Amino acid sequence: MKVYLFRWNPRTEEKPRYDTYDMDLNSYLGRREATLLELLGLIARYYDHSLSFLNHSNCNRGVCKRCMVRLNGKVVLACNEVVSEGMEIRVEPVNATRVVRDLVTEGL
Amino acid sequence: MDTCERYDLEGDVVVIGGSGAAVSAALAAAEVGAKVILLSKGKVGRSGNAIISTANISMDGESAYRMGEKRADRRITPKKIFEGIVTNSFFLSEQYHAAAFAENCGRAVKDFIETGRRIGERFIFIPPSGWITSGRAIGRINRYRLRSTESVTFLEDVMVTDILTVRNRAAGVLGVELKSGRLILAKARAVIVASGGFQPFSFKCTSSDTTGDGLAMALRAGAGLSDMEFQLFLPGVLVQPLNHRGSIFPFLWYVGGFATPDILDEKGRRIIDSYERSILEKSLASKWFKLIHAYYWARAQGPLYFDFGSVKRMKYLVSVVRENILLKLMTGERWRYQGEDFRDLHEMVKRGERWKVSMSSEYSMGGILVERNMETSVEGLFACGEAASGFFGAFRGERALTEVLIEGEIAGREAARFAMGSSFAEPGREWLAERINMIAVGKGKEAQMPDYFEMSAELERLADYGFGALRREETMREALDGVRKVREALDMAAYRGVKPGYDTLFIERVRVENLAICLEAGLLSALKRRESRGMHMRSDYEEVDNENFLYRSVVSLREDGRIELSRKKPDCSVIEPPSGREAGIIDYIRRYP
Repeated sequence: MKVYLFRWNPRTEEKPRYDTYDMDLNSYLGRREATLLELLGLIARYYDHSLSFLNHSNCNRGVCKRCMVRLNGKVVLACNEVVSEGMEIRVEPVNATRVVRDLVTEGL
Repeated sequence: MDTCERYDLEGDVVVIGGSGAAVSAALAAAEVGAKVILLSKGKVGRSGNAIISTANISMDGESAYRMGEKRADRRITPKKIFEGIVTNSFFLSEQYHAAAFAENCGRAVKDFIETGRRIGERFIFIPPSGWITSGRAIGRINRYRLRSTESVTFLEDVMVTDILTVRNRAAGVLGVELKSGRLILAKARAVIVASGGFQPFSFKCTSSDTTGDGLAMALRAGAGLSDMEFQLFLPGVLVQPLNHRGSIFPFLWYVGGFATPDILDEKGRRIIDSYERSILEKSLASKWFKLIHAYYWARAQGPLYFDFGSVKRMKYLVSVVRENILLKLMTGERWRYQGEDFRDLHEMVKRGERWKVSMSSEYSMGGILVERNMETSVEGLFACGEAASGFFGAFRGERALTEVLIEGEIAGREAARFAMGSSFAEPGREWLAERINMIAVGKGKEAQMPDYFEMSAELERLADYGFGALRREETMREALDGVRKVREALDMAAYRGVKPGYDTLFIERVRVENLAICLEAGLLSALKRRESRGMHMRSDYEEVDNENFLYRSVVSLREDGRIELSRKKPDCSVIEPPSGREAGIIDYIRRYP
């Protein structure tokens, strides 16, 4: 699958960019589907350790709502949103004007 | 260079955590007159495991009856509750903790429910003497409780990394505000750890907070950890469908008395057929439910399936209606449990598909070793809730959310009293500067940092392999060797200081360090326990051996960084523990109500 991921460290970078990842979910997970939160974990683990997404206090059950991001423009909870092989997705922070870093924003 | 600022604050008592135990402790300390600082890794009321739990609290029958619940069973006396906790714990519960609980649960739960109802939360009475609500409601009530006092300052998204000590006395904590990268130095006369347990396995039904931070910090500060071999495995956690992976919905469906599915293994065999007849009935209507099912599930090969093929369609539909009535009463919404919409699971049943389920570790019975007043062996350092040990022993049937209220209260009150009667312990300037440097500057060359994500995955693999629900000598030993290698590598490893802004790698490193130390403590305790007891189940030692193992395992950290194991006799001053041996866990359960 193809992932276009919003990246921005407002402290050191003037403007955001989109990184692109071509991923074969099956090779990492042994299945063709993943939750969006799992996918972000895979990118952080295998592609870029500096990727920031809120991961220190996630309930993973749609209760805390702290993993909220935009998937193809629509606001979703990364923990129970499923993405799969063959998809092309764009992942962005909920509010691009309040970015702490990458997908982590103030207020969430 | 992109470096971090520092923020210093000072209080009488610092509380680490942001859920029920932490809030109760903070309030109790404030009530005694202490100035309290609460540091929470997540958002108070939206973090920890309480918000995704089954959300039930309970008390004795008489107290429930006096709250106007006419269906309350007054035969559930404090004495019965006490006996239940002690027998559930396989006699490892410190009986003074269990007694304090039995005595105080009526009052503490009443206060909690009344506070909740005042802000419009719903509690549904479930006989004999409990209530169920939603995890969200628990979170909202805790947040409300915390905000109702001005004597508590609270900071959120702060990951505490170190407990500061001076000559075996707590002096405060160091941490990092995760969104800014700002260092926090909070000096205090007393510190309370209320930050939950640890969950080292790959398949999770717990929040990502559950990394054993408080346990590891307390151990490094000089306190002991105990009962670390006992992890509570919950039978009935969804593996598939993926959007619900990690949900406890099947467990709730099963204990809720809805249309009972067949539980099948991959070959289509009903695993209930492997259960001993005499124990089957007991498994449903008792506090032994989790342990009985965990016992048989651990022995089944591979994943299991909830299959509704033999359930009459009408019976299933009636169950769905009943389930929705309950959900509506609990949360005001139909179809949704916790944050998820479960209509798709019911659609699966309609299509004749099965729910793939497994066990997942939901709770740590083990934790920081505390005295009767919740103080550790480090002066001024206290612990409560899941982070502490000594209450549930080898197995917890239920009551986790109630326990935190009572332990929190005791820890808060005692810590405040200690703090008010003592002066600040001032950490040495050089020593403090060194601790701060370890967070802010790091160690060695950044280019030589190991892959902390890889280490994290390795720990999960080792926990799955050697520390799961059914254990044996060989795999535990291999896993222990593996964890020790990870810890040695961590000791040698370079790391960089925390960076401003949300620093994923820093969070990962702290997670790995803390989980590694907890897992080593757990494996070491488990290896030495050559018997089965509660949730510590061994295929090579099936007996419950009261002659040799009726003790609590205690681990402490030596100067050289190695973990050392010792034993402690639990307080058995009220009920005499059994002697001799039982052939197995099921035989033990059969003896008790």
